[in-house]
Amino acid sequence: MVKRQIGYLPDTVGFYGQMTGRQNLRYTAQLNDLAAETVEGRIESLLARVGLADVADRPVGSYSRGMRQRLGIADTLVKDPLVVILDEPMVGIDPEGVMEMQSLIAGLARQEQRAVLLTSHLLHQVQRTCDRLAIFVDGRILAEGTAGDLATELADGRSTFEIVSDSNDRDIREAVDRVFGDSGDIRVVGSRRWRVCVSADAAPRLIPALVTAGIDVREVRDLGADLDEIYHRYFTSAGEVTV
Amino acid sequence: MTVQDVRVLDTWSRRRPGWMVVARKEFTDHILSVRFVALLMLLGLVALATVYTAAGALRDVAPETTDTAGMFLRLFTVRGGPLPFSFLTFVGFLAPILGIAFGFDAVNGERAQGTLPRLVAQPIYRDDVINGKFVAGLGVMGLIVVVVTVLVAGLGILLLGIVPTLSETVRMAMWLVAAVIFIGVWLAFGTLCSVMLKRAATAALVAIGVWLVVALFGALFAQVAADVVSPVDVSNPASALDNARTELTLSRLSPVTLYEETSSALLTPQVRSVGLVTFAQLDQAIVSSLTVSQSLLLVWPQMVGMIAAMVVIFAAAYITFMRQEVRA
Repeated sequence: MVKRQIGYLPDTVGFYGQMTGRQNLRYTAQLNDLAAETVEGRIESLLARVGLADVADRPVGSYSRGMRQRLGIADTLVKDPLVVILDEPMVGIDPEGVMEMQSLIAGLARQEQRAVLLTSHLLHQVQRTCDRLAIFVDGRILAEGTAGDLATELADGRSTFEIVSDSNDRDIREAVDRVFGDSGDIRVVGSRRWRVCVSADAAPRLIPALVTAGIDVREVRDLGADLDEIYHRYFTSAGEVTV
Repeated sequence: MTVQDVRVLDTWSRRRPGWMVVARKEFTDHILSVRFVALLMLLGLVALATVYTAAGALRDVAPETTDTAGMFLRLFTVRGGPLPFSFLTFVGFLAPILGIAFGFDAVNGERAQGTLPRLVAQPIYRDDVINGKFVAGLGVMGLIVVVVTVLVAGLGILLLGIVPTLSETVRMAMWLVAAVIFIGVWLAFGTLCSVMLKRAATAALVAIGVWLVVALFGALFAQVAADVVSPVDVSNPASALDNARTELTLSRLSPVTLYEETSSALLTPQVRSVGLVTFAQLDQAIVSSLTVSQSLLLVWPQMVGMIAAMVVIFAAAYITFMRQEVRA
């Protein structure tokens, strides 16, 4: 059965609240028909690995969300799968937990040579964790490759900069328009923040243009291969990013 | 994964089937749950009360009834003192609560906890989930009914000073089977509610509502419907018989009627018919007792009817569950 080789972590993972973490894992092991003798040791080491060893015998009802999520990872690994599918594994947990989760996931793929498939809307994290990504919009793959590939492919020879300035909106738009004309694209992204998108070869002319126009520039940052930015520019419709 | 690995996986067979794993876990959960303890205590207490009063009533009439067949079994069928129920009717009335209590959150509880997607992602068949839960529910209810009945029988031995004969014991065992099947009907119904209704509270309300209607108004509905289908014509005595027959047939659609007929025939050897009996038939009849096999023969249709009801309701729950989408 295929399900024996695939570990799946749903986005809202649930456990039996009245059972302890260890009992929940044991139940999964039994459903996988694993021999009781070998499985206890594996459960023990998995619990230690996800940092739940000292709470293993407390009912899951008392766990925090991050703890449940980590128990979920342990749960998918009980059957020692070849493929691990994680659905939004980093949603709703604290930054510390996200870091731990990322190193856990990276460990699964790199040290244990499991295929890890994860879906997420948190593009920065995807960028940091994943080897290959694919962007889905409306159920179709729009782009696929490493984060770098995707950026080049999707950026389509254009660069994006973030400008922080005290000058007013009209002056900045005029300055950008004067130099880049229609090829420049500018929009407001926050108070005193603008994003400018220009063709990559014309990019070095941006800062001189702003300076000549007498704009008070506080900061200009190259967003480069920033997934959020690419994503926003190309697919305003709802989509999902997958490794 | 090499080709050889794939072949190993193909021929891979389980040492313990999936439904058994599910059933074992559910059974443990039930036994450790508060509702199990509460229901067991409730049933135990009421059962003891009915039997205590019944034993009192029996001792009063002991001189005339000694040596009649099924004396011990009267403990279950006689009501005495201030209580309006015999043990039998009391089980018939309260047993559905047992069935509903262990069924109403079987599937929607898993949904609410978010454990269902994880469960079906394991290498078991999907029906293992619902089958295992049903088996576990039947097992727990069987346990409760047996415990309560044995408790009652033990108290009866103490109070009456007589022990059940072999045939009485067989009758009791048969009745236990009938009672578990009867509760199984309600367990199946509770499970059906838990599959169809997303919230456990709604499922419980609906199941209990249906049980109240069937238990309290079932007879009334049968009577009204019978009067419509075959009204009584005063000038024609045969029409009264027709009316009564229709009413009986309709009321037998309810598992409660089937259970009551089965239990009374099984626990009272003197009952020779569960159908209509006219005065002419009773006239000159010699009071005698049926053997166990004859009583069993008498209630066989009722037993089959209850089993059929249980199977049909469970099948509805099963099909609905198999066609439902499971998602987080």
